[in-house]
Amino acid sequence: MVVITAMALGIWSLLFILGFSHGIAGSYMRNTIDTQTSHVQVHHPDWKEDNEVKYSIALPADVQSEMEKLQLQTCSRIIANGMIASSRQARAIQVRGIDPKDEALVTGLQNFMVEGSYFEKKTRNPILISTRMAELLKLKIRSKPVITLTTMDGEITANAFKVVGIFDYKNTMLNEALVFVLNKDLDPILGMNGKVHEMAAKGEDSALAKQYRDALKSGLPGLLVESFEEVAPELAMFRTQMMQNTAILTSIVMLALIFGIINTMLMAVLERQRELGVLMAVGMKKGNVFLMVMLETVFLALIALPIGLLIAFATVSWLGKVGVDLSRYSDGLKNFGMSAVIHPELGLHMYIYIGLAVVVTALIGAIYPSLKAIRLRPVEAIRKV
Amino acid sequence: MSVVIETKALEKIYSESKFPVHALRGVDLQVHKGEFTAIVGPSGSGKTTLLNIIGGLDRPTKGRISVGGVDIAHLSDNELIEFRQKNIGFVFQSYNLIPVLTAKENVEFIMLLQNRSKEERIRRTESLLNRVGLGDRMDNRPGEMSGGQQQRVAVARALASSPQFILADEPTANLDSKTAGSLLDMMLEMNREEGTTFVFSTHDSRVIRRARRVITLVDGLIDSDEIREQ
Repeated sequence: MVVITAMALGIWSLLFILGFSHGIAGSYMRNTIDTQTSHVQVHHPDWKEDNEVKYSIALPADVQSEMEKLQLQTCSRIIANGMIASSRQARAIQVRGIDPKDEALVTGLQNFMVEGSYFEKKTRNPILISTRMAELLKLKIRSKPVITLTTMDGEITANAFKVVGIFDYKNTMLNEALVFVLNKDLDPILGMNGKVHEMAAKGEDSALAKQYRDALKSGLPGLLVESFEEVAPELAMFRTQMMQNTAILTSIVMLALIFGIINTMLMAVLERQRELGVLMAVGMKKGNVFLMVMLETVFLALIALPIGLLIAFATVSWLGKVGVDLSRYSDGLKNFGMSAVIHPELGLHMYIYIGLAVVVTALIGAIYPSLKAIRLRPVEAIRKV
Repeated sequence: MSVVIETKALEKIYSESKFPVHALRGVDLQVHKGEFTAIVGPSGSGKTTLLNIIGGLDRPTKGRISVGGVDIAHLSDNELIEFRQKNIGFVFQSYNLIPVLTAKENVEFIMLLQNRSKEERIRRTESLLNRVGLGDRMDNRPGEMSGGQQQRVAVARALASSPQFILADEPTANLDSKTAGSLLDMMLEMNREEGTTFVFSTHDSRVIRRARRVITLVDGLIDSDEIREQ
């Protein structure tokens, strides 16, 4: 009973920790895709090297039509690095000129608004700034910061914008770097003449991002088409890291399980030396004794396994719905673009893998006690008290 | 009568300790089918060693041991296990029944190892347990039975595999005199009526009194071999 409980608890804790870390990873990946990378992005080939205004996409309509062929939600952006200044302070920023309707469909920017409106009122040169920016520059709704940018011709230009809304990306890095203005306002300021710097698209499933990329690449020669993992290599690294962590964590728990099983089954064999001796004395072959101890171990694992899996499934599902509130540590999490409430998640395949790993572990753990059992000499074993 | 057990110049030396122990120093012995033989002698005389070697649980250092014409000293471990399973029935001093199995299962288990059919196993188990007077205790586990009853189950188990002979190592040592007497009566009856061969090692005068042949071992050698007419 103790062994079964220990095994079930081990399985539960492993799956719970995996569910929790997969929840964190999933939240990070989704947040990054939703707010930053989308599934695919198209840029001028030199854009990645140097985010200069001149590296633009000349025919965004062609790109959009290619994206729409794949039934992707698309949006275009004019992007320029510049300075934002209030009467108090000035900061380096990235200005994103967007089409509010398209942007809403791709990144859901409107969902992050905490004050004011999402370009809904008609105002001249409206701008959205983050809570952090508002705090740093002492800005509020209707404030008029000045943004200084370099045009396509290399001229420096300064324009006043009116704060119409304040957003909070729950990501310190983004909050400190981004402001949003209207595409149609930024275009004449920079002299873009309908050109854009970035086209982003989102489909049904992030797993299909590479397929979208490949399809777009063939239709858009001469442009840089990247999946989200290429746009933000840290996502791929994060994913690989998560898989490695899962493997390491699983190995550690399985190693502990192996030693637990060896210890328990060895005790069971030593306690039953006499019984095993009698079985061999009256004619049970060594192979059968070996199989008997192995099967006994597997049966223990097979009893513990569904219990552990079931409790883990219930815990992960329940916490996946209600979430684990880590708002106490949310400042730290926000720096990494993670939300303060973690929703543990674990694919069905993980339950299957862990289940199989436990059975294999039980079999490995049972080998030594089984060998010990068949090495008993019946003549000595039957006299053990 | 055919020879079931034959030993020639059988020697056993235990060399595990610093001073080798000569447990058997050249035992020549023949046991015939249908005998009811007691091997007696003081402690350390080699009774249990002889029984272990005859039973294929231990191997001699020198000499020859054949059971039913087979030289068992040269069988591999697994061949020896199979040989024991088919040819030798064991009754131990401490009964040594499997505690988690019922009386019926303890007896049936041996036949399961022999791959006998289920019908045959059930029929023979019931017949044997009835024969040893435990027809009404078939579903009891060893812990629910007295010592005498457990030893009767052990006898039924020993007989279950239809062995050439039964080896009993001090079978009455843990029983009170009434129970021991009744167990001996039962074994004698089996010997008389069915010709079952029994070989005992014992200190018990009640067993010695009823044995038809008494072999006395002293210091690893046969001191006397008395065959009685009964």
